[in-house]
Amino acid sequence: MPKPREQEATAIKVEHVKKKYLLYHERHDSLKDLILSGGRRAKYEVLWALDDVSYEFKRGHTYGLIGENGCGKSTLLKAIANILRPESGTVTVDGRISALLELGAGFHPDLSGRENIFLNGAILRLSRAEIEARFDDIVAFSELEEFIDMPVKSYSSGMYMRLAFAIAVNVDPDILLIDEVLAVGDVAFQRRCFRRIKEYQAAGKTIIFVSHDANAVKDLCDEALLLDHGKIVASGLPMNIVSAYFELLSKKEAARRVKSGEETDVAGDDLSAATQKRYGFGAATIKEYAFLNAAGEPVKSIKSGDRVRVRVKVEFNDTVPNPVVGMALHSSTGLDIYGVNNAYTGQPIAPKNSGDWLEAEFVWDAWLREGNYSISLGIVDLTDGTATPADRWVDAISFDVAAGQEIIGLFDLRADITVTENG
Amino acid sequence: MNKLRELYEYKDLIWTLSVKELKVQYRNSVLGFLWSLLNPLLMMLIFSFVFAYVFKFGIKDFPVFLLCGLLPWNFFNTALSTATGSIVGNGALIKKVYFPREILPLASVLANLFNFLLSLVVLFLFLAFYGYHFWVWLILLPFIIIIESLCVTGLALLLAGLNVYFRDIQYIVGVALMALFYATPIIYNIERVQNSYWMTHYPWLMTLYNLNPMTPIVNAYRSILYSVQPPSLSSILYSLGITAFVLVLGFVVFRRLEPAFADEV
Ligand SMILES: Nc1ncnc2c1ncn2[C@@H]1O[C@H](COP(=O)(O)OP(=O)(O)OP(=O)(O)O)[C@@H](O)[C@H]1O
Ligand SMILES: [Mg+2]
Repeated sequence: MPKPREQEATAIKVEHVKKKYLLYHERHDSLKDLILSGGRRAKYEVLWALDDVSYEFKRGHTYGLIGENGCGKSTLLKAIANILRPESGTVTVDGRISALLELGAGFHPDLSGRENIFLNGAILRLSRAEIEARFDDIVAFSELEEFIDMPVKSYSSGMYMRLAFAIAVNVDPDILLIDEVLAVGDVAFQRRCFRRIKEYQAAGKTIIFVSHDANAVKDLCDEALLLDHGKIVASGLPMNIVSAYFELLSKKEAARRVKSGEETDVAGDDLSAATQKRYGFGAATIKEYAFLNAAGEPVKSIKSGDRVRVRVKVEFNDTVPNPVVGMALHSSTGLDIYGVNNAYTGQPIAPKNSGDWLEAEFVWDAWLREGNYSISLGIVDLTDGTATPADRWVDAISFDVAAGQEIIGLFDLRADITVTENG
Repeated sequence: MNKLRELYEYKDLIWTLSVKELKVQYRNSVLGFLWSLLNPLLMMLIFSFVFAYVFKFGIKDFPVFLLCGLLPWNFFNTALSTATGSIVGNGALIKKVYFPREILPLASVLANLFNFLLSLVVLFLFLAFYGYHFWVWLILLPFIIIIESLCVTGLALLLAGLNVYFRDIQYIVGVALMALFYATPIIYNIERVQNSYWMTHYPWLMTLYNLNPMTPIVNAYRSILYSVQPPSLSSILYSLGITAFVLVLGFVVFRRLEPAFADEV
């Protein structure tokens, strides 16, 4: 989502922040320990949860923070929220922060929903007057009208979360830090959360968002940061950072396998497979591909509604009893917009042997909104209902749809409108 | 100074947390709030029975005499016991939300101050019933209450902060408060101590005894309400001095310890 220029002011400036934890082998938690040890320091290891992190978060943007468990994401949010003090470095924040590191922080089970709204609201830095003004919205959002005067210990965990979230999204801060709290809740709840985040984005708020959900990061964020061992190792377009993350994971996975003496070369598990740009068992190879306009000329850029041809040439190196050739269209945020293959359209291809070849052409009208898109190609063997990739090429083609007629939403479904009216 | 301004900005939270503490305290009891009044009355009945009738202390209107010391003591006692555990007990909150950490012990003190003020009303009824002209110097009472509250605040910050690092503090505070109860002229008259053999022969013992910040404070309450006299200026100045010291110490130590709270709780 491109934002107007004037919002490029810095909202949060993180400079050379370091945070270390001492991992004690034995702890001195009581006076007894301290006295018995005679003031001797306990043995410990140093763990850098944040290792010289610097970054400027611009106002009005949404940032996704990704990385493995324990890489320092929550620690970074806590440093920004002033919950913990780093060893060195500075964090400068311009605006009111609300940190949703946990929903319902400070809820007391014995108090009613109403009382907890005031309590939690105050903890999230709302004044009493502000909470009173938002009270009805909060209750309406949580849909807990009948239960609002009952103690929250009698709530189901879903009701508890709904109330907590309703308060959290009504805080209306300038800067919102969200740490995986959206992962809880049912689908409807999550959808409402995302809608609320979109509203925040439209209102020009700065959001930093920790998630293990790659799609959420790709859909919601303007920019993503990849953390590893307390360092920002990559930052940029969410799509690129998410694939960098998957690459990192598969590298680590490979390293782990080498260490534990397992085989490394098989594209065995789905995760590492999906992260590689091109993978497959090699029974067939995509030899050539092309992205052509209606006249059959190769193009990089088209207009919305243009007819395009995606041409693929495949050579077979081995027996493939049930070849299926397909393509998938992705948006720049990594959204899978459309996919099709010959099995799906009910056009079986005859079994192939080594030395055979085939050429497929996918012709469609690109009623897409302006932006950058990519196409993945693949040839798989669909024997006994299981798809074995022979050659899959992720994001093989990339093209632009130039600005033209405005489209509401992702693409144009070419609706016909019939109006019946009186008078 | 910045800290004070920040605390002021968070006044709604301090207020809400104190109210929460009060609500939670009595939420599941039948008598609810009445307990904060009943509790000192029952204590008074027991002490009066033991000291006025069994041991025959011979103090005029012992129940009134006692209540004048017991109620301020109860405030001191309950506020410090709850405040000491307030940081550790709210660990989940400290790890997840930013707010000035001072708020937690402050809210404990405030909640108990409220209980204390309420119990004073009962004390006034008692005084009136016994025919004491307690209103004569009543104008000085708020001043004493403020001194005590500030002194309690300082100690509360100190203990709450230290307790994060040494959880034993909580238990030590329990025992120390019990000892301090007897080292404060609550069930007895201070003259009794001053004139005792030990105190007259070993003056340093008396100095030690006087270090107890609650001694001048309890005496001040008693002098205003029971003796119907203004408290001695020197003792007020003395407790002001102690209070200032304790308050500064509490804030400074708390500030030194606070940055690592989120990692330690
Ligand atoms: N209080 C603590 N004491 C010691 N070590 C800690 C403490 N808090 C965090 N750590 C360590 O700091 C590192 C970073 O933790 P952090 O919570 O930021 O990870 P994360 O990226 O949020 O992980 P996750 O995806 O699991 O939420 C971890 O290795 C963790 O063990
Ligand atoms: Mg985390």
